[in-house]
Amino acid sequence: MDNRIRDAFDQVTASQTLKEETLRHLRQKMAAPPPKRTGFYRAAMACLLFLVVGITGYWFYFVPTSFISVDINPSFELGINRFDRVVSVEGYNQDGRELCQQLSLDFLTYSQALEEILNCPTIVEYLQREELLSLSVAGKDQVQSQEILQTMETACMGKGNVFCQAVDNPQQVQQAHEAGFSFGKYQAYLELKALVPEITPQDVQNMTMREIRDLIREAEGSVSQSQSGNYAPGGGQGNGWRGGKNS
Amino acid sequence: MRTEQEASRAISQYGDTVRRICMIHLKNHADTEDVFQTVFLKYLTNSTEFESEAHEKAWIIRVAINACRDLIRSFFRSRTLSLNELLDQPDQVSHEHRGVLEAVLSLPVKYRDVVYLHYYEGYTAPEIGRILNRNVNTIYTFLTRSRQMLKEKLGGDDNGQQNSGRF
Repeated sequence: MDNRIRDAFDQVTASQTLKEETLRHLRQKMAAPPPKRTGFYRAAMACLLFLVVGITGYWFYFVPTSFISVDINPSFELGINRFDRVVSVEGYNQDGRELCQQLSLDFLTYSQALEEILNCPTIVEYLQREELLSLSVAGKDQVQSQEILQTMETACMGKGNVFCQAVDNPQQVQQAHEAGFSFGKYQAYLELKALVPEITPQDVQNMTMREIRDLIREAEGSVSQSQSGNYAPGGGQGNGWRGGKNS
Repeated sequence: MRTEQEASRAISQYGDTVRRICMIHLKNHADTEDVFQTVFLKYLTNSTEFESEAHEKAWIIRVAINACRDLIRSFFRSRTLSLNELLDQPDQVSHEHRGVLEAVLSLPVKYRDVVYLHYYEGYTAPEIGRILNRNVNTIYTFLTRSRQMLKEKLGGDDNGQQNSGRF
């Protein structure tokens, strides 16, 4: 049987055509330039593009261009993107953090967010208790900041105890955050400090905006008395009171 | 990378061996061409320094068997054809040889390689074990069973002297 198998397999040979065809194929392969790794580069470029688009898109959408600081005693800030949407909400004290959790402001337009804030039962209750609500806007985009300020003023029209202002100095925003304040409350602290130099951030940390404003008013009264009655209401770079105890 | 001359020499020297392995595994000529090109392209681009011709031949056999198995596993492999279509020159194969080849091809795939390597190439069971990367006892088992099956198919006229009962 061994011989029969051997003889049978002997009959099976590679034809000359097959050999020549294989050799021709090998020649072609040898002559051809090494395959370009286009697939790899395309995939790498696609990944890079995806990354760039992703990062740019994230930066474009999620990086705030303006901030709104909302302060009564709860203090929190809304980050507003270039599309006028709320992309961040950050509380700056315990009350502020709790209020942020109550309100669902993410991705609303800032005018919708303001409406939510002004109609929020907690805020309404604070205002009814004669507390002061300070709405401050700051941002690198002056045009957007001005538009936000106008929207805030329109939204607060007819409401008492609400104060709207624009903070033109972005450095103050950073300083406020470093001091652990929202920039709206920090602005009030700076106003008070200008009148009462010995006041410290710790002194105002737990004060309501009403208490700070009352101190400012008192200090302004004493300063104006000492300056022969030159009374200057409001202060800072804000737009002054839009409300007040009697408005 | 080897030269064209080396590849040409390998095709001449081992072409028939690769062709027989292809016949054992594959179902048509197009697949055989594919495996031929695969095996000798690997040979061309491989930089293994062979210690001897025997080493080189064993390498070619191993690569050819693997290439055939890869092709069989491939989704795009061709369909089954008759023995006539498996042979390059079917008219030159006698009736008796055709019967033997058909008997070998009727064996389970795992037996065909050992039958070819043992009965035609003359490898011992330990050598086949090394080439196929299998346990030598498994090779002995395959050889015993395939021998029994071939005896039954070919009428049991065991006239081989060299390998009768010795692997």
